[in-house]
Amino acid sequence: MIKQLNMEKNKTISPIDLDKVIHERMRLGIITALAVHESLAFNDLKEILKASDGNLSVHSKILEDSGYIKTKKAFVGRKPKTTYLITEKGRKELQVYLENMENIIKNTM
Amino acid sequence: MDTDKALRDLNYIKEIVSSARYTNLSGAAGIIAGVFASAGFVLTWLLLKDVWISSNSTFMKIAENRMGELAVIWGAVFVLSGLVQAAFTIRKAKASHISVWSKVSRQVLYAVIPGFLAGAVLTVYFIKERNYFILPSVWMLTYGVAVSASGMFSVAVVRLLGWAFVISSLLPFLLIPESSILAMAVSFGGYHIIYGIIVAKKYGG
Repeated sequence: MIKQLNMEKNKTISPIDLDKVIHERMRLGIITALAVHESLAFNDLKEILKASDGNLSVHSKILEDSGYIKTKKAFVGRKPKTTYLITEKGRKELQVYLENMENIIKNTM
Repeated sequence: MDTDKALRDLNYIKEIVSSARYTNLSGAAGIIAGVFASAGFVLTWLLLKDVWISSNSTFMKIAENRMGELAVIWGAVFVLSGLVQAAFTIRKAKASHISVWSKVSRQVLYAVIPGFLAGAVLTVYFIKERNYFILPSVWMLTYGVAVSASGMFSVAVVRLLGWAFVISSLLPFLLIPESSILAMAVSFGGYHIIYGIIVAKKYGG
């Protein structure tokens, strides 16, 4: 009941259109880290987010396919090195996401 | 998304942001600072070349007569390098849409202040003592301290630059005082240029 009321309230004050792409926690983490660091190697990102290889690969792929981040691939010796960067679109969407969060918190106060 | 999720997300974001390192470094500014310092060295050499390899006391006497010019030269190198650094930092921050005045950039700034203050205090002291010969070593040491401290909030290459200055200052400070001006040229000129190239390659700008 309370939840329903909250939703009603949100609807009237600010329609929440949450971005499905960012919503996943790991993806929020990736995009936040890249917003702060500008460019990060796969291993640096893994360390910051305390993520597994597989998990990070899956979610970074989704973000890349959606145009929120881009990757640069290079070879260091024989090892492939992937570097991640945030795109203009990604930065903008994160901003929108944060503003939505702000509204939700404001509305409950 | 409910409030709980919003708050959890917020904490998560805070955690990630607090792991941030200062990477708004400008390679070009480093290279330009190195060129300014090299120019400063050439001017110093032209001013003092007649007494360059003479005894300490003669050198100091001449250097004392030329204090005004030397102060202008090195003051200009310092001020111009600082201005270039500021301009390029602002430019790069704008280009990558990040704030110049972030928490981590403040930390970097606060970290260099004690080192610079120590350098200023020692400079005044040694000028009073008329021990001009020691000044380049003092500047290398205190600048190195300031840079390595700021490197705690930035990336390894900054800490490395700081340490390179600190270690290099030991040679003119303790072993070969006559090498002090040359050591200053190599460090403020050469190290900055090498640092600038590494930064430009790794972090751009």
